[in-house]
Amino acid sequence: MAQKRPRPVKTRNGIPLTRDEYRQLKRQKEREDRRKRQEAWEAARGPLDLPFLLLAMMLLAIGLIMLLSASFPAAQSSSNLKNDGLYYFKRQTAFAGLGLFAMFWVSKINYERFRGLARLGIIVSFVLLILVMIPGPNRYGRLLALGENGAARWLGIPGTSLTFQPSEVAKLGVIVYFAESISKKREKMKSFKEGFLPHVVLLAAITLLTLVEPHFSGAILIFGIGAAMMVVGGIHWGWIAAGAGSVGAAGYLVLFTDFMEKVVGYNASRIAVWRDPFAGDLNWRRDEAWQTIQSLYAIGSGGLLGVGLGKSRQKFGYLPEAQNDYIFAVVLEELGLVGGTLIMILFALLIIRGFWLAIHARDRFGSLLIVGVTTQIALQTFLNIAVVTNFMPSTGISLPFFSSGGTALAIQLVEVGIVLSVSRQIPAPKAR
Amino acid sequence: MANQSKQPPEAAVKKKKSSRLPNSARLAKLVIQRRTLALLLIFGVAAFLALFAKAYDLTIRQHDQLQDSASSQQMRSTVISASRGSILDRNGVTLAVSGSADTVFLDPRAIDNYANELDKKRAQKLVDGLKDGEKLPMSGQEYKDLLAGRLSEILGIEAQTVYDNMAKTNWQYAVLVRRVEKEVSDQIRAFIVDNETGASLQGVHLETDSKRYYPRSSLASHVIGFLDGDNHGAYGLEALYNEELEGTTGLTVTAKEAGGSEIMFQYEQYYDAEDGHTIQTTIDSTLQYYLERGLEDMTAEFGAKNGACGIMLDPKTGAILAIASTPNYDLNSPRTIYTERLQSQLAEADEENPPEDGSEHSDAYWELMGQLQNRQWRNKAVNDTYEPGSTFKILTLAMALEEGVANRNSTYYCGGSVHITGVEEPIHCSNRNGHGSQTLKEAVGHSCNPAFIKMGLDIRSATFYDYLDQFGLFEPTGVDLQGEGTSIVHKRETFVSADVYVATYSFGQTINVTPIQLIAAQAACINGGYLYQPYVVEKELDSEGNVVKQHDSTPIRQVVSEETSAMVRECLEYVVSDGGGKNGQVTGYRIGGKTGTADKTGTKTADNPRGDVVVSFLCFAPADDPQVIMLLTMDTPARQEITGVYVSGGNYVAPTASKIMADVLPYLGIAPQYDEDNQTAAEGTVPYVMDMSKDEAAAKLADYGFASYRTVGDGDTVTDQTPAGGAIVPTGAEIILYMGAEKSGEMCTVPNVEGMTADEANRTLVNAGLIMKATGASGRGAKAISQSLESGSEVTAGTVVTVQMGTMSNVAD
Repeated sequence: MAQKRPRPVKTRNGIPLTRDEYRQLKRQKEREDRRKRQEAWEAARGPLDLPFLLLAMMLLAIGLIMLLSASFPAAQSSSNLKNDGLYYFKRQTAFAGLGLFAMFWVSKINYERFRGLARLGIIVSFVLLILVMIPGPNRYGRLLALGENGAARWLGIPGTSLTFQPSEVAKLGVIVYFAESISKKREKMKSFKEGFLPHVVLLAAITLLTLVEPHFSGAILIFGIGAAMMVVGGIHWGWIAAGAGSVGAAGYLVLFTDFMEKVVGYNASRIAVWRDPFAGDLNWRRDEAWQTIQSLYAIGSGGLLGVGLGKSRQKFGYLPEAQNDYIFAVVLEELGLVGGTLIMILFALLIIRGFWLAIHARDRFGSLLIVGVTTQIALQTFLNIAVVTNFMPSTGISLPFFSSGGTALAIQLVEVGIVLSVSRQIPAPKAR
Repeated sequence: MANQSKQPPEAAVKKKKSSRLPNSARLAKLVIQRRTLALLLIFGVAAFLALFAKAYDLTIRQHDQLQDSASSQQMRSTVISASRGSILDRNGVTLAVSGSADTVFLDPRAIDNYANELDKKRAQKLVDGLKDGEKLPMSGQEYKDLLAGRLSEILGIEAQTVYDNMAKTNWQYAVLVRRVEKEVSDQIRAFIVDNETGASLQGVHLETDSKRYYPRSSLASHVIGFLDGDNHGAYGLEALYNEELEGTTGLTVTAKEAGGSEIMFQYEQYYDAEDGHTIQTTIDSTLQYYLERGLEDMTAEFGAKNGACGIMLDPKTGAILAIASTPNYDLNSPRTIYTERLQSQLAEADEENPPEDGSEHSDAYWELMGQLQNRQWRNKAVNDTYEPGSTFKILTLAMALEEGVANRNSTYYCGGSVHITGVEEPIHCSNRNGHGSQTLKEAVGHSCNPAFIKMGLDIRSATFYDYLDQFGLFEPTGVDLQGEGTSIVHKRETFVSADVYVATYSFGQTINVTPIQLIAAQAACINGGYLYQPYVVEKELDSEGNVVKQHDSTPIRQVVSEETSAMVRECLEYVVSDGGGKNGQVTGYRIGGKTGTADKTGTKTADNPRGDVVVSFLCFAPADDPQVIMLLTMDTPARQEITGVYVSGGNYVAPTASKIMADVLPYLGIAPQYDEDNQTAAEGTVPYVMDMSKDEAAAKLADYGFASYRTVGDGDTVTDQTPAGGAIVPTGAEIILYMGAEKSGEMCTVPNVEGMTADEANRTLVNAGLIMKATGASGRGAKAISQSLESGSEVTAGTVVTVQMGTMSNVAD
């Protein structure tokens, strides 16, 4: 007998469904499955890279201990800090806790999602860098910027330690944006017009902004990070050679000739100090060369095994910024060459592990993210220790995980989180 | 069918994806991997190798240098000063002692800052306007003027000096005056607190410093010495024993912050200060005083052009009891020219070379000043050599006796001169006519050159030379005094090559020795033959008085036998009692001695035909058991034409030696012994006879040896007496007893007794109402050569006048 109504193919909860209805339902289910798979894929993936995590945690722990030792005298003798010797330590610990929380949270996010943040990140970076420079009526001559140590390059809530440097944000901004942009370009990176030029222009712009802020060391770092990512991203060898050549030539002119004084008219006393900190008369030494000399005294006093943890004498007012840029001088004074070398080895291992993770990352975006973050850590570590040991002229670069600076530490930990996030998606080595 | 599409979703995705990866993407990834590896090597390895190399360089290679620099800025060392030990004489009398004194200094930088501040305040006040009764604050310049004015006034320095010091504005320590007296520092202190500014002064400070005091001024100056500006010994014992005297300065080393405050619980080290040791010398300040006074009198009388010196030794230990040299100086102000004669030379220098405008003294003045300072600091007794002349004959005598080439019974013939093989000119005796035949004693008494030349030749040069060595004449004595000189003698080969050397040495010419070398050797000749090392430091005491070091005075060696020594003493006693040294006699004592007049080689010129001489006298007492030996020398005294006295050790030096010994011997507790000859010189203690009747008094006086007395007044009892009870006067003196009458206090004029015999002098003085005490030479021909009170001076009756007796012979010795 003929039936007008289509034959039910399937029943659902006892209700017969037509083919169309069934197809509709099936499609819907498939969509849901796909979404669930996607979600599951994002939420539960491979394990965090344990070596990288452990190295970072060890450095953080040692850094906190050294910060306590190095900052105690300065904090205790500062009436601004109510003579609380633990001030810096407590603040740093709080930010470390915050940073660790952020780090684990970030490490759980699928890093591919950061792609979406790239454009926003770079725009925010520009905005912040410009914000901090807007002239205004406050006592630093700016509208919003807060000052510290004579430079107005902080933003945040005045009177609290909730401040940050836009250049710190910009570093992260550049890392994410470059990673996203370069990973999309593939072999086009080789071309001048599509690979080299846009990135160079962007990098130059953001570096110049940082430079005029003025934040010389920040500019160096941003430029270094960007350049390293471009190099890794695959720009033409010619550009690498040209870049390295011009940086080398500029370095030679600045460091080994009197180019700065004669041609630029810049007071190159830092370079003179670098050449021979002990030259010049006593007054000269008191000012420009003071920190370099004091740092060398501290390091030299350390010897092989150091004067002992907590027993630095140079931190008692001789070393300026003992808790900050010159903390590694205190490390070498207290722990000697042996202790200092161990810490340097930890840094080196962290960096090597970082680049190793970059090499093994699942995709180009992941690789480039890690290259950016690791380059930042590597550059800061190298430049900081180089300045402290007068291997290079002094610039204010802090030591990752060690130097006092809450938001900077938190941002560093977030970056570590990014690396860990990428590390989760590294395919496990095949069993076969 | 749903089952058909049952594939593991992830695997599907993966497979699909990897297969979907285009070639370009794989290539891009490869590039990233390669280039990341390069970064890994650069940042992870190369960079850290470079940093490690740099850290190694700093921590290991430059460790010491950097640590030193770091320590020097981190450590504050606070000096804890040790107090300097004293210098004492043998009886514990302080010769040098340290006390604290304040040094006044400015902080020019603080003054400048304060002055600027004042100027600023003043300017502000001028702008703001003054309130009623408010004063305009002083300006910076006014402040500086105030400081310069008052400080220069209090400290007694030029105001310009203060300005000059204030101008050193990059200094924080500019000394104005070191070690000021307490009154001055008190004034400064008061000025700092209480002054016209109405506030404490800024930039004027006092710091406690130690100052050396020499309570006896110029006494034993050449032995003690002085300190330099930094309180370190510069000369004399102060320099020689600087380390012992100074002690060890303590030190506290603490770590400090850059700001200067101390770092708690960080590196502290203490080094205790150890006070300096006290040096007890062998010098007896009383004897030293006698010696210095004697030298002063002697040079004042005979004008020693090149100074004089004297040494007094204990012959049985070598301890220097006194040692002096002229010109002298004041230890408390060693750079000031002390003696008037040298001061006038300085003044002349300025007159001859007028100082240039603005400067106080001429360059010539300063140059001379330096020379004169060196001269007054020079200890002739130790630093300089001289040809000793006849006092050296003591050694020749001792050698001859010891070698058996001379004895009590030896006789010597003197024809006035003697010819030496190989020398054309004969050597003359002081007596050109010759002494004829003489015994050994007589030869010594005559100081006969031919006799001693014979002894020298008999001893033979080689043996003679050995004896010189035995007597310690070839090396410095090692006395603990600064800058000891040593003899100039011929080499042994030269000496034994010809007779002329031993011939001239035998009477003390052509050999140069220091006085200290000579007296040490001479002491050995008379003390039983033992050579002792002369010394001045008896012991070293720590700050608690414990003896740290004690001089050991064991003899270096015995040079001659006891018998020889006894014979030498006998001969030398003969020299004083009957020979050329009569002026060296001290009444009541047995003195041995030897005079000397030595030609200074090379000083004979046309207008100085006799040439310059060094006159000297050696004496010791008592002659049979010497307790003290003394050598006096006087370099280039005034010639006979000026003094009217024949130039010889016997005439120029011996009387002074006698005067000194007359004080020294009683002081040493050696009792005088009087015989018939010199009874007039015997002394007694005047007894107390007050409230006695005349007869009782007379009896008591007689008991004490005073025979003559006279009375004034007619009372029943003695109400007063002259000399007072307890006074020591010659027993021949007349005692005046006042019987109820007021002590007249009558004044007598001292008569001139010079040139009189002892009896004449005594009579003259007694007639004048005075009491005479004779000392020096006795016997025939002895005449008064000086008196203790100047003739014509008015003194109370009964005053004792000491009269020095002497015999002036015109024979060289």
